[in-house]
Amino acid sequence: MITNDLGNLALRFIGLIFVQVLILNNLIVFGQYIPFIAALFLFWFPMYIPKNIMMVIAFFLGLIIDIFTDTVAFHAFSLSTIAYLRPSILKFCFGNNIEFQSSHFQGTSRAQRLSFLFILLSLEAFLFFILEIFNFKHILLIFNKTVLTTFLSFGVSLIITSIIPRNI
Amino acid sequence: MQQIISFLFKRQVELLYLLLVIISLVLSINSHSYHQRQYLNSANALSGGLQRWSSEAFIYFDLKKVNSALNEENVALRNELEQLKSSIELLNRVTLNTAFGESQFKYYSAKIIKNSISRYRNYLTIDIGDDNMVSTDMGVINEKGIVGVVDEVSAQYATIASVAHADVQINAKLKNSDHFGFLSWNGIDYTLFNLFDVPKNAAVAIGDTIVTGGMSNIFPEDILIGTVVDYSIPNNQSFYEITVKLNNDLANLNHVKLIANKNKNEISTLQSKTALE
Repeated sequence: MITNDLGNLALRFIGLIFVQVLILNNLIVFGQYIPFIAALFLFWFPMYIPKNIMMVIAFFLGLIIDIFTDTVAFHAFSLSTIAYLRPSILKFCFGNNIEFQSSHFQGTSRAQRLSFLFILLSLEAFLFFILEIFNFKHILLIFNKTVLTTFLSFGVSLIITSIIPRNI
Repeated sequence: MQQIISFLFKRQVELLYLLLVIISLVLSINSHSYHQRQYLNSANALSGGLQRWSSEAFIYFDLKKVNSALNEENVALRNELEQLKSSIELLNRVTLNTAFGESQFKYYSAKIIKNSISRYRNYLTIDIGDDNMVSTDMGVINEKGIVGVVDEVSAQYATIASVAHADVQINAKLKNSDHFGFLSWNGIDYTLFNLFDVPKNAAVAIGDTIVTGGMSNIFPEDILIGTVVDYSIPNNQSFYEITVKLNNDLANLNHVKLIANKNKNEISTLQSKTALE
């Protein structure tokens, strides 16, 4: 069961990098918005793996995507931050008992799972643009880009999660 | 001692997070400064190779457009050739004593293997590098005008800071009056650029052509940039704020030309000496 999970995780790690780098980075909507879906990895991440290992893996996932997109360490920063905050977000979306469940998302509603995914994606976009633009004079530009990127990413993530038959 | 160890052990997640954040901030702040991104960008062999492979897979879809662009350029070059021929004839008749030396600028052709327009600081990657005499700060153009400036160079690839890069500034002038200013991007729409520092005594009109000025060592003079779409003089200022629509379509680039300025080192050494005095 656990080895199966880890195999899945490794496949998703590589798959997400390929999808982001080869497909989504070429899919530029309205001339300036690219969907970010790396946060899906943290959506799928099993709960029994310790948080510090999750943060390190998320950091490297971000860094690899960064190297291919010339956005050095922006994704790495946002993904490791989301990994750090993930237990709190899980509790916020699913209630306090979520950590005790062995296999994830058992007994949760679709609305709960979708809101969890939405929060992860919006955080990823927000943290990415804060670091990329790095100038609080342009705070409106940061919000504008965050909102549109989040909705795009959410759409793409829904398609991906429906192709990969598990959970949602 | 034991307390310190138990504190570290208790707080290991927070400390690890702090470490990761510090690493990513250091990396990204270094990448903002000009020359530090040696390994972690798409000019390195592994990611450059993958990008080249993916761009080769997609390039066939654009062949038709490339063909027509090349045709257009051919026509323009032929026209230019004819003009030059006639001016040479004219010169011969006047019997000038000047021998035409080697020109100051040399052009290299390159293919774009990765392009971005959606970021705040946009970069392109091309398929030639140090092995083909590419060096930092070479100007990049195509048949429709300016594209950017070479940023990082590896053996076989190079990255270009696009004109749509919030930190890139380009010396530009009004074609018909020679008043110059600098062109920069506001980070929002990749077709619209701002031209600053044109003095208010210059005559500006909507539709005026903007070209590169000869003041930088990067671009030769009179390369097309775009046209004026809007202008104003802010209160109590003596300079225009001009909005320029870029003639080039940054979202649709395939082949570009790099410009090497042979006298660049000489000029910049001279200028830095003058600045020191």
